[in-house]
Amino acid sequence: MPVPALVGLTGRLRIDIGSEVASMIEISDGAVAVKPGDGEADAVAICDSAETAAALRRGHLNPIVAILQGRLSLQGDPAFAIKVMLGLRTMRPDARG
Amino acid sequence: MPVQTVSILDGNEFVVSDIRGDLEATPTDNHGLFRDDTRFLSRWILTINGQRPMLLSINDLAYFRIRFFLALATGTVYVDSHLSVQRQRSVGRRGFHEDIILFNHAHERADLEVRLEAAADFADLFEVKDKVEKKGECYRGVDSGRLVLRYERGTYRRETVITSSEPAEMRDGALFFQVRIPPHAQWSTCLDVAAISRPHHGDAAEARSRRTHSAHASGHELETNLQDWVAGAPKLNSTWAPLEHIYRRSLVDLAALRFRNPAVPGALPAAGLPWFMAIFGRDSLITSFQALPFVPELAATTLRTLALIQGRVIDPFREEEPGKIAHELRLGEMTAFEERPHSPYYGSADSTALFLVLLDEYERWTGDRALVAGLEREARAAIEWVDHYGDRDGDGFIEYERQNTQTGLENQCWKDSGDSIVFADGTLAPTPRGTCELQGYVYDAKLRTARLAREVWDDADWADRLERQARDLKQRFNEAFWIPERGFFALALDGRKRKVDALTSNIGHLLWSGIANKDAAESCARHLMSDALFSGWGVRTMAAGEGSFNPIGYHVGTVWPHDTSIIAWGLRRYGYRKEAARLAWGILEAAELFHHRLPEAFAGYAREATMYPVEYPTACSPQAWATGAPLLLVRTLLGLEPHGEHLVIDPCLPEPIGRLELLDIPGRWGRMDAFGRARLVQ
Repeated sequence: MPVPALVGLTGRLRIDIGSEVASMIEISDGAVAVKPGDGEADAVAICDSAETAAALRRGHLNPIVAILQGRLSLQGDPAFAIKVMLGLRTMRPDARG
Repeated sequence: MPVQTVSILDGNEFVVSDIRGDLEATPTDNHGLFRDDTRFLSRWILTINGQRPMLLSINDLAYFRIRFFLALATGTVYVDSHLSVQRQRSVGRRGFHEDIILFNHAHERADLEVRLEAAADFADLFEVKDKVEKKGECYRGVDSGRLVLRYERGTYRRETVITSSEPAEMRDGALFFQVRIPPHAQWSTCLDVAAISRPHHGDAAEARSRRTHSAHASGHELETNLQDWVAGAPKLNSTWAPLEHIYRRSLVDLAALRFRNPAVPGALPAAGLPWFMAIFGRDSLITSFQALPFVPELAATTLRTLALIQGRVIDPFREEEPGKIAHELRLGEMTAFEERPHSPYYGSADSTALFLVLLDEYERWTGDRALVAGLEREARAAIEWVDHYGDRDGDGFIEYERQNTQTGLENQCWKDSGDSIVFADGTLAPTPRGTCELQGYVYDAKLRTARLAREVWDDADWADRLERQARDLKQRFNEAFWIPERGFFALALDGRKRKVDALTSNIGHLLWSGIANKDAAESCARHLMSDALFSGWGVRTMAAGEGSFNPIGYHVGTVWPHDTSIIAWGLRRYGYRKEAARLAWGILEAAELFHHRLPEAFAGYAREATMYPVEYPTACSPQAWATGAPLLLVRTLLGLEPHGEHLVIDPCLPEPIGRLELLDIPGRWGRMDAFGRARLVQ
């Protein structure tokens, strides 16, 4: 089931924890799949910890706050990464109040 | 900006110092090197043999570069010094560069101790005016000949790195140089102060910056970039020479206010120096609108950036709602730790409609269908916000009431001070409030979005619905907001749906947006040009005689140039061309007297009483939408309006301007020239 906030978006966001590859988030016109493994990605979100990475995947992360705090940095296409991370926030049960 | 300070800037990096070039931050003197809403240097004081040199002169070379000429005082009335000092400072690329040159004009050798005191409080901009106890730890040390000042709070780290080309002893909070200058010779050192937001984070760009940083080199880039920026904009010539200076000043100040972010190519206008060097939705949108005929690229970046951070979830702390356009984004510590909601903050009720207005206006001017096509989802989401969140109670009007009662804005219209929405007798209107201009913006936004729906997004059904909604809104607005006994529209509907009956400049925005019926517009035009509202220099935010009127009240009596520029365009829209020209002339005359740079606001005293516009003490300068005001006024005077593939030119100039030409106006027509001659008798 596509995430409405990600419809129209296609690409891959890799999540690293430090220098270790953790997972890959694949977006296909809004459909989200989280897979293990590395590979080419449109952007990489480098997390400082497993907790940050988990929060990102679950949509509990405000990426701007995380970047400002130094818990997250981005490589590659930052606009794509931000769209994905902000879109994932809509998957939370409380996203629409 | 107090005259005792000088500043240089480039986007969200700026340095505020005293007139000698020293930084000595106090709660009242907000000196510093600022970047990303953080003060990276709060103390930077030059002494020579324990004495601070006195100022001879300042060369304001460019917005990013300044030169101070100083000398050591001798204790007499005359400057009979044998030692002079030059400090040349330029900002850019994560900090600033400073050359200090000492000249020994004596017959004897000079042995000197040069001391540069350096300290950083890493204050968030929200903390700058109040001395707030920091929650992290500060460090200072020497690393490979560099003075390193650091702040850490968990994973949050900020660092200032100071290097000198001449060897310096670093101790006791300062850099010490033991200098020996032969007779009639000079000594110099080049200092680099780097402000680093993410040290040790594997950020390649930041690491390179630490090793090879040179704001000195970036100064040359900025000079070239500025020349290209001005050269690429239309050329303005006028028989009223001050207008040429005002125009150039606007272009240069807009260049200075360009704010870049790594996620979106290009730059958008930050809101103003010193406290608003950030992405502000409303300010960036309006400034981009004003600048469209001149530097349309600002609008493209503004639209893309605001679309990227458009609201997606419900978050009462940040007042985020799906589809809502952001009010403000900040990058300092208080935002990082969510002590402030600016990550981003969405507390404005007008930015969403203004986003749609700019999107349409941008396409009308540039023909850039690719950008508009790419923002269809965001536009639809914005309309959804207007209908389902903006209208909080289903009465068909937009109203606001803050959800973040701790740190959110009480007023979420452009007049966002606490006392701006009042009745004629001065009584504060209870929330929720639906100010009149919000409804006008929505009306305009729906009509414009309908055009895009029809012509770009191929959705004629949606276009039809939007147009019906707009017509319905116009009818209801003209009934619900009109005050027949006073002959103007209410400032707002209050929490009890009463008409807030103060006479304010907001009615001019209704003409800009087109929501006012023709006869109502006529009455509003008379009020706007009356002595109560028009000071002779510009339109007051509130009419003289109203209960809360105060000529130096922030939103209740001062004149805001951007406000008058929008009103002038609105008058013109309804056919009041001479009135529009008269308003434009008042503001442009004021601009001349402000040394060609309009401030954010100035006092609303009557022109007859003052003979010159009176400064408003806490105004920002340069301020983006004040900088854009002359541009919109030039457009108004020349009557520039895109119509299909053509540019319509319909000038109406005040007599003192004489002749005005604007050459190489960019647009979907390529480049076009516009000419106008005054035919009025003043």
